[in-house]
Amino acid sequence: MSKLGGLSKKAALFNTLSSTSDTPALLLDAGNQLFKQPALPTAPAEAGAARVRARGIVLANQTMGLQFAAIGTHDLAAGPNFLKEIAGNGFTWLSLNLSNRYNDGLLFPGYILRQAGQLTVAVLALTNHDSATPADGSSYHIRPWREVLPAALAQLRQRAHLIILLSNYPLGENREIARTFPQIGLIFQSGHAMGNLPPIAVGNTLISQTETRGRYMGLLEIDWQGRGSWRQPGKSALSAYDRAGSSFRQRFIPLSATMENDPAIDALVRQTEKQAQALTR
Amino acid sequence: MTTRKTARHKGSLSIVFALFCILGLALLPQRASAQMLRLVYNNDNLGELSPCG
Repeated sequence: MSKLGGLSKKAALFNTLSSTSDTPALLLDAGNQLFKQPALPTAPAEAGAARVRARGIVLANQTMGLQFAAIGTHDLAAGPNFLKEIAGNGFTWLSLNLSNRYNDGLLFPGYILRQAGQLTVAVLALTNHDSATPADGSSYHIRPWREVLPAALAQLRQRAHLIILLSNYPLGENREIARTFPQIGLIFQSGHAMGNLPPIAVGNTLISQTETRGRYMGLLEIDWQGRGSWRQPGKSALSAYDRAGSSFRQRFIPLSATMENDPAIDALVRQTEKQAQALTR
Repeated sequence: MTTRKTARHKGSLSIVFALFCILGLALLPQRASAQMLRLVYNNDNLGELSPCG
């Protein structure tokens, strides 16, 4: 089987998509970006190499235009302080429920607002509280989504046209979130390998995710007409009444070996690998 | 005389009312018309920098 993925191909694809159309493009990462497992390897050299790769991944993604990402449980392998260390320079980690254990204060911003053409887009992120139990003595905990979403969505009611949730919860929980909060237009999920999941409509919300390990990118093109049900042109015969509402087209793009590489990101990846391998020799 | 004064007064009121309406419309939050947006997304890169099998 030929190899797929790679950050330099992801960068080249995003450059192409951004430069070949006037339609605004937003790059999203739904979480579990940095580490293979929710804990670091026990061997110190391996743990050091994983940290070096994580820094390189954030730098590469930031360079290609990723401005924020959700914190998945795997991203916490080296602890929240490590995430703070490697953020900055226009890159923000998001989690609406990763909180200080003692006063419930958020460790990171819970959401971010972005202007895309005339649309104000709010992007929120949730870390799965069920799949991560912080070690005894750690200074943080992860609150259930039911405790944090209502207040955040109330704050955003008058501030955003479109609300996007990056969720580290499994599909069943995301369906429940969509049913409970129909004002969320889109959910992109992480953490529960199911292969590429084309958009599923749950009430007013579309839920989607890609295959793991960066082998595919999802491209969702939407024509936003405000909150309401979604339709996918060409999928079914629609009455004039049904044609109201927002519409979408979606596809998964394999990052195949024949795709071009972004030279700057390619150089950064090679340098990072060299540094990581030097630690484990 | 009184009729002319009243007409002038009504005219001024109409202008003020029209200006008020224009100002009010300008201050209303802009409703986003149909907007195209492309979302490029992925998840669970799990520490991968390079192509993998």
